[in-house]
Amino acid sequence: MKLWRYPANWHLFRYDDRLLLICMAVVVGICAGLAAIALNRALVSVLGLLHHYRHLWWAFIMPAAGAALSSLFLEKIVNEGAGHGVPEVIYSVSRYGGLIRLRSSFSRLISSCLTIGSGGSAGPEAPVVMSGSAIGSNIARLFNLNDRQRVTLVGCGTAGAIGAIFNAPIAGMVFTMEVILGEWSAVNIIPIAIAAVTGTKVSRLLQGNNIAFSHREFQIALGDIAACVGLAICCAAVSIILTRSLRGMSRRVAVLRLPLWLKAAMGGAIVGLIGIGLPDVLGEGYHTIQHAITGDFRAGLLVATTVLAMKIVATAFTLGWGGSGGIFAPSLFIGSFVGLAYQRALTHLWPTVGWVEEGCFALLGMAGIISGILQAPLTGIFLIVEITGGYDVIVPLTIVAAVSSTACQYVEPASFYLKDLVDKGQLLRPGTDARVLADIRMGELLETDCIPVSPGMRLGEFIPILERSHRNLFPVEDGKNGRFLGIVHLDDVRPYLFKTPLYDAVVLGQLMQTQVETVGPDDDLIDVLDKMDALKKFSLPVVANQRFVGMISKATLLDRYRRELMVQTRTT
Amino acid sequence: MTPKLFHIFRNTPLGRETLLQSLYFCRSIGCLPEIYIPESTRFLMYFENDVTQVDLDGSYLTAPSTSRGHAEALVLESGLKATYLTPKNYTAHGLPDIPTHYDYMCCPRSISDLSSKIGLGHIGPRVRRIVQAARFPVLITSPVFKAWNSITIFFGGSQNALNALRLGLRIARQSGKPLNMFTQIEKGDAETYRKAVADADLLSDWERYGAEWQFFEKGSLEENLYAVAHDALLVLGAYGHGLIKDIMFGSKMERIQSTLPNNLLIAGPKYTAVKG
Amino acid sequence: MKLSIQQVADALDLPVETVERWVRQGRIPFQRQQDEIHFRLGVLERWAVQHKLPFHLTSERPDPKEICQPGSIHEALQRGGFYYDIEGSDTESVLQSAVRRLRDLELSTQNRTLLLARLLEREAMASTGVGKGVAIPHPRIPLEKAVPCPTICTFFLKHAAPYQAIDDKPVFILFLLLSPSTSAHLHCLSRLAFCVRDDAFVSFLRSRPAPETLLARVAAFEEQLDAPN
Repeated sequence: MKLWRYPANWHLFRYDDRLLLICMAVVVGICAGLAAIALNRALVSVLGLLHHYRHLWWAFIMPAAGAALSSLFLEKIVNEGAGHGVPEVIYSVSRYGGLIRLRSSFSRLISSCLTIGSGGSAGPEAPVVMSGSAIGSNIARLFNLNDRQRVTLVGCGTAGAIGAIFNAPIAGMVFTMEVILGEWSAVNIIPIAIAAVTGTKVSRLLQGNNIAFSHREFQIALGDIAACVGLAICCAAVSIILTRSLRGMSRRVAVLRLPLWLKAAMGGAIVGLIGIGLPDVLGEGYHTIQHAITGDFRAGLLVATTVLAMKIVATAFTLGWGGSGGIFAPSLFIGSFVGLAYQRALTHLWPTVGWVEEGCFALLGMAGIISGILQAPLTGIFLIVEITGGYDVIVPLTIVAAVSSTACQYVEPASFYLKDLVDKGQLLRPGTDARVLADIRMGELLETDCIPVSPGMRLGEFIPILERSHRNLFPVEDGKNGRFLGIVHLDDVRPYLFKTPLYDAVVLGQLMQTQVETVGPDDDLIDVLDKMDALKKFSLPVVANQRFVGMISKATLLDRYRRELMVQTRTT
Repeated sequence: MTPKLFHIFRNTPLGRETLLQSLYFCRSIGCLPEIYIPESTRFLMYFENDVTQVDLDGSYLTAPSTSRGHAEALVLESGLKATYLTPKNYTAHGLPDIPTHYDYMCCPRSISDLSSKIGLGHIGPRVRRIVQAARFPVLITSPVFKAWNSITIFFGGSQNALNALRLGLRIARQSGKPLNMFTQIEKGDAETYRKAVADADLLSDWERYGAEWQFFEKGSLEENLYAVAHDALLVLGAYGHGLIKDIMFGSKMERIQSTLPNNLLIAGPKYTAVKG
Repeated sequence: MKLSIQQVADALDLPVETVERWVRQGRIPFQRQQDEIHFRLGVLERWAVQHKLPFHLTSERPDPKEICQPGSIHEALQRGGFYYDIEGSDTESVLQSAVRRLRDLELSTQNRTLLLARLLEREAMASTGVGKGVAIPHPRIPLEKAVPCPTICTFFLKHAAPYQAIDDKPVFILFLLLSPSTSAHLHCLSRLAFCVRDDAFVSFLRSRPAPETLLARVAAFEEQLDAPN
């Protein structure tokens, strides 16, 4: 055994893995930070390279080619499905202790670089999250860490990546806790915070400490704060439109019988065509956001609204048709334009009121859309605070984030990332009923102390078995091939129990129930429970390959369920 | 509970041979085949500390409309009962998760490279990865179906060879077929190997089920492998060293499988021999 | 102290599969040496307290009642000993002379008096004469520390004596049943009753057999009982 691959066995870490996790978190944070910087640099250079051709008439080909290449890369070279990957990370965290393929640590970086660099409307954040978490997971695998530690490292990867790409450590930490892990526990927070800080530090060393969207200080009056509520409602509405159009587009495109790369190319071409009229919608759009915040976006309300609508369309075409990338950056873009348009509309309606500059509303709009789409208000608040470098807008920010995420929850109960998982019943957050049931295997609950009987057995022969048994259920098996035939319940026998003359006259075959509902040993516990509830039974026989394996009962289940919950939730 | 063998069905003549081999194996040791008819060329297997994406080659998806019928016909002919796997969980769209709780799994020598490319000398990287990560032994079939009438264990004295010995004893006990052992002496003499078996408390079992233990002191491994019966199932352990070491020095598993066309049952480093 | 996975599973009263899963998921503190997994008692006890899980090592709780299994009654008969020619003409006098004859059991005078009182108290409730001339006197509540294992003392009466038995037949034999616990008592009582139900056995008892032949006969009965089905 190679000792270096089992750090959990080193004397230093043997009794408490917190120190181990902290050390690993630093490593993961550095790697995730580097991955984020790599994508960022690659994007900058690709955009710079293609910038000279943007004004040419055939420029709309570029997003098409980029999307097609990225789709081909994902499908043929690394053989991974499309999509931005965040649901995959959440799925693996909830079901498989955060096991993620090694290839995921680079595949999305390259494909999203192709999509976004060529002008597709998508964000680089989700790919970076996928990469960072895959790096964390594979480092955990290399060092043979267990599921709990691996999940923490996956979180570390996410936090480091988000921290690095936005230069926002707290946002990285909060996003990880709120969206990826869904759990706030002391064991996790410390390594994740350290990874977020490490990732951010890596990015600051390599790129300098830049605040992404710097701005002047805003003077916020009471009237502005009241107006925030209206903005929040608008944000919620736009979030829902964005979510629906993305999902609707994917559903419609999935029906088309065309090669995947061709679909991606068609989507890309449409985005390119939009881009000819409105170049602002292309790419991740951070420059345009910056303009919106500093008040340099001069065009009027109508243009702003058109840009807003077209960005939604472009994003839906890029992602829905098979391009690769996330929705983080488009959400920020859309949010800033919602804010902008809202402020201009307000000024139109009440020109005498001294509203705060449109930049402030753009910030608030960004927070509103992020918290609406992700249904993660804290992520929205902290991200905006950090990327804009000030706490001066915290009061309206909190209001917008809270109202927007609440309003979205009314209409869409699950957020964009989680919707698929929730639909399939695969969202298993720690400490929840679904998680506990998914963790316990049927094999752990089997009660095997039932005494099998044969259908030809006389009642008289059955009495001594009844005396010995602790249970009131007896599986009936075919004497020759051991096949499960039915169940004899004590209640079925009770009427004849004290009628000695019947002891030789009645055989168990006459008393047994043959129409018995059974379950298989590989069934999911949640289905088994549903079956029990539907049949109003407290126990069911488990039958595999027509043979009786054991009984499963609610009494045992409750006992194990409770212990499982105690072990899962009180880990300190 | 009846042990289960996992088989991925390929709807081609080569796939038919593989399934016949699996069914023969199941009938011999009394286990139940679980057949997966792939719906996409990739799937994931989540092991204890590893996740493997298996990329099947395109021939696995040949004529999806007939594949279930073909598989059922072969199963019916064998007189066994088989179950068919429908994946329940998906990591992503078109990427199903295949359970890994089986007792055996059957693989052709390669499942991701085109089947036309494989002669004998190559075990594909995915099959190798499954062997490395799985808790179950992997049955690697010969290209054409061939019934095996005896079992030969390769015993090299390591911890994994002992696991292979346990596995071989179990197969011999369940199938009732004669059991032989093959040892290429690398250090010490025959007594060293006997002692290794005795230390693991397996000598009495070996004496009860085993027939002949051949020791080879002279000659290269490849030369001596001619002594292995042509109709034997080979049982061997795979040691979990790195890919680089494999490329540099070539693993013994590689040398054996490239020399012998027989069916192989490989116990990987994670294989835990079930008692009894 | 190092524990194996099986010991831990026993101590937690859970299947091994659950503990294996906890190891995999990192929910239980453990150590890995080569490919073996083991647990440390102290660490595990602290962990169990933290999670409020019941944790009892099997060797830690020697249950006094478990030391002596309520096994076969021929062993209990052997322990109790055999007494012939008991005097007496009614329930009270028979029991008096029977208790007086008890020699093998280490009973103090005080305990003897207590035992007799208890037996009479039980007879006052309802006779223990089970019919066919057999009586199984016993104290209603097990005597504290009187016997470590179930014990049956056999008394053959000199003359059959009236005993208010259920079939009003005079009793010719007493099985005095002493047990450390109620469950052991019921176990022996049911086995004894099984033997006595057999008419051939009762007439065999009437012949006042020697201890060895009686024990062999009872052992045969018990074999029949223990056989599956």
